[in-house]
Amino acid sequence: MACKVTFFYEQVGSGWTETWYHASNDPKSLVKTVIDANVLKRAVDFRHPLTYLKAARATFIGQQKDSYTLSYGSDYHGSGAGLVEVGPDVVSADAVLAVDAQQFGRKRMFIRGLNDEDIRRNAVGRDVPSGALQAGLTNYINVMSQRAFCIQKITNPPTGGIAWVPVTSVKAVVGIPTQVDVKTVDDVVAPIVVGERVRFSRVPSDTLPGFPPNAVVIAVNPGGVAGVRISYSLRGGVEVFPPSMRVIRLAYEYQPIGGVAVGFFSLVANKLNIERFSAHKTGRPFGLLRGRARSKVHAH
Amino acid sequence: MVDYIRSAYTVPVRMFRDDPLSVVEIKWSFVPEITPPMPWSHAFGSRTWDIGEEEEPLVGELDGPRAWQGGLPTFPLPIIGPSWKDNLGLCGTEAQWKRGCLTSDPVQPVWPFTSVQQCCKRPPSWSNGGVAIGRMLGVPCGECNDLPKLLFAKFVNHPGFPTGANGEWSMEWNAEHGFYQGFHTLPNGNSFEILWTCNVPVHNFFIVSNGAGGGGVGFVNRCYPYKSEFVADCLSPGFGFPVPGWIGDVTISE
Repeated sequence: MACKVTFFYEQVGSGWTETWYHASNDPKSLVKTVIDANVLKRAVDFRHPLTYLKAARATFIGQQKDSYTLSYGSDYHGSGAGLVEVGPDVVSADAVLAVDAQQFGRKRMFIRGLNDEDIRRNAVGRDVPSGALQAGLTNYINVMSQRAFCIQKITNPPTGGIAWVPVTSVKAVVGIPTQVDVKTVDDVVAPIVVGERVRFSRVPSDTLPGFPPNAVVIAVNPGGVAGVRISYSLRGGVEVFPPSMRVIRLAYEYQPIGGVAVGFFSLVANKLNIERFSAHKTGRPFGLLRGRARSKVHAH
Repeated sequence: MVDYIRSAYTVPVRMFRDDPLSVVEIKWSFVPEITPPMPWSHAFGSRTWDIGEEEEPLVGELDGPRAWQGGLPTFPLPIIGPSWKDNLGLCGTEAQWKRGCLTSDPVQPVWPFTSVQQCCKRPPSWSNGGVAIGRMLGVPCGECNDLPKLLFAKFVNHPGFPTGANGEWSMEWNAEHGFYQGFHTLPNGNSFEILWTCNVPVHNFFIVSNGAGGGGVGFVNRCYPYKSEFVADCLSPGFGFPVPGWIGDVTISE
């Protein structure tokens, strides 16, 4: 098992997260000791001066959820003194960082909240990162590598000849209102076993609102009927017959950025390459009301 | 502060580790930024972005639909302390937060006439019996940071409630708790208390109490120049308690 680590960034009214994984099983220890000042400083140092690393959260991935969050206030923010830019745009400047690994080929990450000055397009149309950005990113990835942080690799479609399987119905489990049986045309979802994951597509949002795109399998072929049992509250406890819904086995792998982590594949060789730049309007900050929200106060 | 979220929602949660079929619905609310995070690791964090990546936990949020809701504070004033050292708002034990409660665990006492446990601050007594919408005042004030350090408010034209010396009183910024607070004593001995929270930009609201169980809540959507009269066109009908129209016409000026 592992911990999912989330870094919470903010930049003047915008917020986004960055997700990593670590082999640790102790989220509190992970946040308080492994994610030390050196990690935090390198995570944000190369970004825009108004980009703040607000908090880090580690969550143990398993049936016993265990989550620990630490806030940093305004202790860690980007540098970039001397830049021409004096304020952020309405969008966040991003770069796409490609990580090459022997095990899974190429994995791309969005690196957000950068300085405009660090991402320039040259005369022939090529995105050219500044030396400061390259150095900062290398420092960041290096320190994450040294601490055995991982990135997630989703194997999809999975290997082994497993294909999408049509879903015939989704039915609430009698006596367990938080679980449903997803019935399939046959048992070709096998050889999936309990605890593995499946992915769904073409889920009708009107009859199955909030249906998880991915789910952990609780039971295989429940009641002797082909299909899987997953967690989902089917309101009304009825049976839904989605016309074109499909399911497929899904595999996650957690690959370390570098070094060797216990229980994980190590990267024989990794290469960092900034592929292209972009600008995105990021999400609203964490812990604030949505600007367009209307509030209602009800008499009780 | 239990977790960082972007959107508040309601969700079914399994609280008791010895009764997995017992599910309660919780409502997420936003808190002031100064609120410290939970000092322990725990099982009750948001799972909005974890669904599908991990198994449904033995205790904590369940999978399934999450109904969005605004995230307004449960009470208009913080009922937790500015730090855990205050021992306010940190209810339950580390073991309960980490592994869930037992159905045999004792229930902590609550403040009279509320559902708030006494490990939190006592909620405002004037919210007992209900919260009422006051009159809406025009255009948004803007962000809290733009608000002045000292505000003046005054009642205008509120039938059934006596007006004091020109009906005006001041409010000072309480940086620790993030709201404006002011008192005003009327000639007849009744006193007003006004609290204007800025925890939720755009939706700033205030509470007015006469100290005797009456009062109401109003939303402030416009700051007026000092001592200016309110603009009647910007008002919409509201009600207070126990007398409709109490909160009526309030101007906030700097």
